[in-house]
Amino acid sequence: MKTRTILILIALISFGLGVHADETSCEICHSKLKGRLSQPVTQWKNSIHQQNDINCANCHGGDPSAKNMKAAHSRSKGWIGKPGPIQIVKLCGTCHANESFMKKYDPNSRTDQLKNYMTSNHGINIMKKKDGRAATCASCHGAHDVLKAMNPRSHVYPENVVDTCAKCHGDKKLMAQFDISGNEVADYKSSVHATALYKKHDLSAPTCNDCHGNHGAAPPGAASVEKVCGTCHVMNQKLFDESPHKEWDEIGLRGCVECHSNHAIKPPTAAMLSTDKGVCLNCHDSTEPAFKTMEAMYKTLTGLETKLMETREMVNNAAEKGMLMDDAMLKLQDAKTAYIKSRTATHKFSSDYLDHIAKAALVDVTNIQKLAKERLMEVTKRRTSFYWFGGLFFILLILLGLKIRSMEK
Amino acid sequence: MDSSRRKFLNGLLGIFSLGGVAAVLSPLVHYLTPVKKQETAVSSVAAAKTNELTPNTAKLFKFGSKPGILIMTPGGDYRAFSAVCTHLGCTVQYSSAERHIWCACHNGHYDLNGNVISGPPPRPLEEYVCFVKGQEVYVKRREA
Amino acid sequence: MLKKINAWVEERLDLSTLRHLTLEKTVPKHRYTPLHLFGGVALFFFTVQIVTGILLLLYYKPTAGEAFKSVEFIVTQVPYGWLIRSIHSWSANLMILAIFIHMFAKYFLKAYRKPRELTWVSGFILLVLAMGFGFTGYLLPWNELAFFATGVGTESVAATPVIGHWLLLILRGGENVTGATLSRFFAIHVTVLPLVIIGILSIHLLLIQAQGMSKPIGIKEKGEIPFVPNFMLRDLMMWLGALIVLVGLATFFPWELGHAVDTFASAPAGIKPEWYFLSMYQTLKWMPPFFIGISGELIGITLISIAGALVLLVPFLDRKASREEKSPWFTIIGVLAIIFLIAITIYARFS
Repeated sequence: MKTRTILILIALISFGLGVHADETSCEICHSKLKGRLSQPVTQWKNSIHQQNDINCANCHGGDPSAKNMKAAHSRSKGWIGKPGPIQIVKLCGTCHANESFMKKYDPNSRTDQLKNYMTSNHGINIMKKKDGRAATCASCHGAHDVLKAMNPRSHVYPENVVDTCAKCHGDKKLMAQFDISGNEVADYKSSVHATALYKKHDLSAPTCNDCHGNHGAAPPGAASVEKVCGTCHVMNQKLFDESPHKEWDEIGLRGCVECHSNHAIKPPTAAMLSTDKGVCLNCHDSTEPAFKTMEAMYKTLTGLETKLMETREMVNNAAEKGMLMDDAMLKLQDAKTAYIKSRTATHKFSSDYLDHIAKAALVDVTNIQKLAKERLMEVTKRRTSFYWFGGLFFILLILLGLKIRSMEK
Repeated sequence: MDSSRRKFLNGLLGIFSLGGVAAVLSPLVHYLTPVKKQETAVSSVAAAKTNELTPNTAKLFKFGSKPGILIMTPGGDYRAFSAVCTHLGCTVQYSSAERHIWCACHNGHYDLNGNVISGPPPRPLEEYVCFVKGQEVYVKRREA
Repeated sequence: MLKKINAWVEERLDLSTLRHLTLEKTVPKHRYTPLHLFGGVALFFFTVQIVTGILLLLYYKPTAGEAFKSVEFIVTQVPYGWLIRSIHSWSANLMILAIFIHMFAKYFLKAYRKPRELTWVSGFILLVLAMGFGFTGYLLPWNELAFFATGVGTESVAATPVIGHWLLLILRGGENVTGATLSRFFAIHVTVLPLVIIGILSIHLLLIQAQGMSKPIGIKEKGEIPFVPNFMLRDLMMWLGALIVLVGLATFFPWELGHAVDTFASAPAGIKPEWYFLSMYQTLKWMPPFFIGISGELIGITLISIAGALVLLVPFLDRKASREEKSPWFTIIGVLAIIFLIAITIYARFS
């Protein structure tokens, strides 16, 4: 390791002529080297640190103005070579945990990352247990190509962060050493959240760090799951807290996860309430009153779905037959709103409440169906009129034919 | 015999021709009769009458085939947005108590610029341009 | 009474042409006689276009802001408005179809030969005018498809050397398809083209009256049919049939209204012109971007223009027919042209 760094420096220093005045001797030499020795320079050149004149020596120490490698890599000038895991955390923290320093660059910058990191499993492993396998700042942010989190090229940009975590958490062998399954990333990628993120490019969709925290990464405890989900799914949480299930955390159940799972969250369907495969059956059996509630909710929800589909078909049918259905489509939007509200309403686990909410959707649906029927009637009317019209002219046609024949006889 | 048949044929022809002419003319006459309900014009939509809203209230209106929401802010300005929530497409509403836009489906909140305050919506609501002309508040799509 | 009116008019006007038409005009009778009926059918659809066109004008508003709304108003609020609008669209297409059939019928009967060259030439001009009607009318509802298709259609004009860009500006009334284009197309559709087409159509019909019906080369005649009333009644039968088909199509397959133009929206996939432009559209599409330094579009347009010119000049190219001799080569070319047109149109439609 040491010999390599020395080689780097030799090369660095041997180039001192005809270069940009601002360039340090580190850049000058290392950029002429090959592979891993020049890569840090290239990566750093695109980084936020380079933009703010935080250069090699700020982290690695040494003398960037020295003309030869030995002088540049002088231990007396504080040169440390490649920092180890603990060193990395401390190095980053010297600036990033310093509020007055960070304010110079970004008045809104947070400085609690180090503090949070120390509470995380990663931080505990590195700093307390001296276990170098855990993640340091550089594991996620990159060592040299550090960018702002919202820069699309950043390793921690929403669309990249899952793969960044996967560098370790997708490695089953490594994860087994920590009693973690290693399936989490694959599970997440099959989830509705991943679809929103990767297919719809919806950056507000949660990735690993939205639930686990970023610097303070740890699994949410059983009691906090519903609060974590509730940061986005507010209504669901509110209804859940009003439901008979609100005491789940007291008996050690994991809120939302019990029905929706954690990483592989699928788009919810009414089938989750079905009497043969419903998620309720995990705890309840058919003798309990809860079973009745589930059955009733399933009926309401599927009934609504069927009606909505039926209505949409009627509207499309009329539209295909040439009727303008803009007004019906507008009302269909209301019905859809009411239907989605009904789906949310299931989280209160009260069939009466659900029926109450679903009633609005049913009223909408009935009105639209009436409208669609009227339009379809109009279509029938037009077609019937045409049969009369066509018939009349067809007879006239035949009469004319007869006339010609009788004339030419 | 022959001539009577011919006469019969001519008679039939005459009757049916009259019928044919009537069948063509009747839709035309109907078409020419002015319609009571006059057409709603132009690219902008009359969303409300000027006396319809008071400060801190709102109403939904039809914008094309989608709903829009016209809000009179507590300060008395008009603001209009697409009323289709960017999360799952529910129709949003105005909450006078909270003084901002609210989607009841998943409790999404938007401020009076259409930006998301909280809840699951991924994007702001599309904002429209409002202007008052005579007794009507018109709303139209924002020019690029 | 009738006689008195007749005499009164005759004292002031020479009605001999009319008398000739009603009393003496005949149509040669042979096995291809029914083919002569398609010109009449095209004329019928043209009449329908005039009537329904005037009716639509009563409610239509030719501005970018109001065009779509007014058409929507016609099809939803005006009694039978849906029918009138649907008939106008369908009839336009059927008219062009009838013109094509009429033209190919006359082509195979070699009716263009001396002395009827001018009838053919005027007929060809009528076809071009009809397509112009189609092109300009397509934009008027100001819906998405029309908007983008017109953009593509006018774009090809720009390939004309030297004045291409200027032509494009003249046609569009600006760099892009806008409300200005709509105004121009509207003016062309309801004033320019009707005036021109009525002039040319009169010449076409006058020539037919003056020269009578042509007789195919080497086909046995089975006598003659008086035009009035025998042939005219047959015409009338065709027209009634055409009316039934037209109203049926308009009722069962009402012409779509589409979506209002949203200039911010990106072009929807699969923008294609009306079927009668598909063969030209596909030809242009097949051209390479550049071919020995000339833009492919220019080559395509040149090819189409040459093809058009050849069709226009058929009567002067077919020397044999003008000597009343059979000209099988022209028949073969005609058959090939039909096969080519149908094949390329179907390909373009479904590709």
